Amino acid sequence: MLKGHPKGLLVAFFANMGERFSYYTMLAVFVLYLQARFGFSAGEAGDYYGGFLFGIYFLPILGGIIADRWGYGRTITWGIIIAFIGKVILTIPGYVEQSYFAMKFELIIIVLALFVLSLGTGLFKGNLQALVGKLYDDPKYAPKRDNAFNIFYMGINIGAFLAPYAATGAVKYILGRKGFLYENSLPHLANLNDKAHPFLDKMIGTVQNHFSGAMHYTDKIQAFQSQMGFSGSVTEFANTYTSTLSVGYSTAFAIAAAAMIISLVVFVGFKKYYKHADLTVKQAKEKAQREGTEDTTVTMSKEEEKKRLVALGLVFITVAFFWMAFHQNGFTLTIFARDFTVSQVSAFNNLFFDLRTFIPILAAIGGLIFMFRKTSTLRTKIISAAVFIAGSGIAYSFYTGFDSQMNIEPEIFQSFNPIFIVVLTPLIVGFFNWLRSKGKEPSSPRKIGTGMFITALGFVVMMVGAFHLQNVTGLSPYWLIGTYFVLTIAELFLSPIGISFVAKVAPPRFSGLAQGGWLGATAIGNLLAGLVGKLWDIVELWQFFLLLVVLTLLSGVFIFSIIRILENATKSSDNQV
Amino acid sequence: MKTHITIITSILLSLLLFSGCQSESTTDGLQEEVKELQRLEEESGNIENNEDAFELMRNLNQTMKDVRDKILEMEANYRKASENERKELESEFEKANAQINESLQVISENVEPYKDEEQVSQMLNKLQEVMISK
Repeated sequence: MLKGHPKGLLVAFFANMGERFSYYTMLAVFVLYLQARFGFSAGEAGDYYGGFLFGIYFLPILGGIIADRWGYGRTITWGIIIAFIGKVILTIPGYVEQSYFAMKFELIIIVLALFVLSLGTGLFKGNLQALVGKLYDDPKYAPKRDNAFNIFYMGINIGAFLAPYAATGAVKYILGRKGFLYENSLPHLANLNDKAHPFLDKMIGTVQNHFSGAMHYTDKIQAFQSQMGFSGSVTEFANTYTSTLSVGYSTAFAIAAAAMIISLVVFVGFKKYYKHADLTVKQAKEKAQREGTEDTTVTMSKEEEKKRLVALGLVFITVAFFWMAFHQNGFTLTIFARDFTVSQVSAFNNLFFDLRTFIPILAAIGGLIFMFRKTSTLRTKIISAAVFIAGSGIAYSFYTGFDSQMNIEPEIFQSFNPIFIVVLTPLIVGFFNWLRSKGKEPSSPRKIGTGMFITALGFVVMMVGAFHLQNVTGLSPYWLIGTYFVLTIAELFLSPIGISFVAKVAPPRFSGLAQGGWLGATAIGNLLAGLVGKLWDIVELWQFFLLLVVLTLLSGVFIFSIIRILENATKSSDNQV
Repeated sequence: MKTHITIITSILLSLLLFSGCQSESTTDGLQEEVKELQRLEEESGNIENNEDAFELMRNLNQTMKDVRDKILEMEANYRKASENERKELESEFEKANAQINESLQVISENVEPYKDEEQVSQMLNKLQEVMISK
């Protein structure tokens, strides 16, 4: 898969993987931390989270403007350092003793940390993409640009996939040292216990009158207290637990900060592999003058630049609709999983819902494929056989411990996307390579348009499922998994290819800004995802999914209707590399 | 071509505006939830099988979640309110609580014959924690 690519791609891949691992580790526990530490409701925590995400996706525009003048490598390096500082600041409040008077000050620290972190990410994220694009301005590598971004994108998802495990692992370790178990609902219960609830207490009584067993929060806390063997009052237990949990979350932030150091070491340590491409237009001209060599930078007329910026703008508008539909995964599709999907599966089906078995199964399948591949060497075959046996063995050992019916949590469905990305990327890259060898590889804009149609197909699956739901009480989880599978294929046609398109079409003096614009479009898509999601409670289920089908189909039609404009923009850039 | 682009862009933007212009719901105490519970109370008289009972319990759980959220909102206002405003909130709550009590009584009686069915029992278990969950 990496054959024929410059080594700089690997540097960017690992630097990005480290940063994304760090980012998602922090993100995995951030809202939970705010709730545990400050007693925020989901809405209050959501305000901080939303503001932070807004910064993360919009500050790359500023980062792009800076890098287009100052240099990409230098901006990226400072981005990593600043993001590291942001994460270090974020760890501070959790390690200090909690008191009422410190709360406002702690919140100021959190806001400061988030701002610094967003600024660092803004300097890093889009510009690294721009730098990868510049590696492929070399005519030797230019035909592999789309593939390169597919590989680069896989790095993001490996980092994102591993992050929640690191975050929860850190939290469990800190809690375990005090004999506590990780119980997500306890901070909320502790917060309820912290204040008087004249109305809630009465309403719980009303429910208890008619439905025996209805619980009060103190009963529930007590149940956890005896389970964890803590002596003392309910309030003492609740307070000790939440302050230990805060330390656990802060430890996860510390791990996130440490991962930034790895990213920095990779990016700075292997500079020689991308240094030649790390030049702004001005720097390239100065270098040519200084060394007396030919200036190979592309000088564009204002008209050409305008044409390209229009093409980029049109793609940004359309892509915002993709992210709007795609990011229903963390929102309405998770609600669908909770409310309309069966909550228990058989032991066999649970193999695919428990990551302890699903990942070994995927590894075993991979081993099997390489064992029987004609081109595999004997050494590869032996390693593949070992992977197959180990994967099957691990999966089987966990399988024997399953009950006949196993519960599945709605959040688990979100793990399928990064897994599918990692598994499907080599297949999609191989597919495009095969098409290229036959001279039939579609242009980047055509891939983006096709991705839009595939997205629509994903929501057609959900629409059919919604109709089917009228005859059953809960849908099989495979409806959702099928949708995630189709949406992931769409994502691979659209997101890495879109970044590649931006790298190819952006006028050289706006490379960083254009990548920032791409991330800005993603931010608008996220915003739209929330707005469209509000229709969930208003319209019928099938109507909601139909709306997503229509919007993504129209976006696909829109892309194909302007395909000549977009292809002309890519062709003119191909002529110039 | 220009017309083509204009038409599709207009459709996309109007759909966007349509979804974006949904007005935020205003707080009206617990009246909306009381009405929904009264509707469920009426519906519970027509339960004919396990599926009906399950469907009703699922809707009841959702409504009780809304009740819980509104109560927490009311309590937040209560903590900041003056003495007079507190009295108003208390009387508003007592009235709603009495109505909810009546509806739950009827619903629990009508669901009783199905309470041992697996899916209904799962929903009943969820209801037991609904007031204290997130």
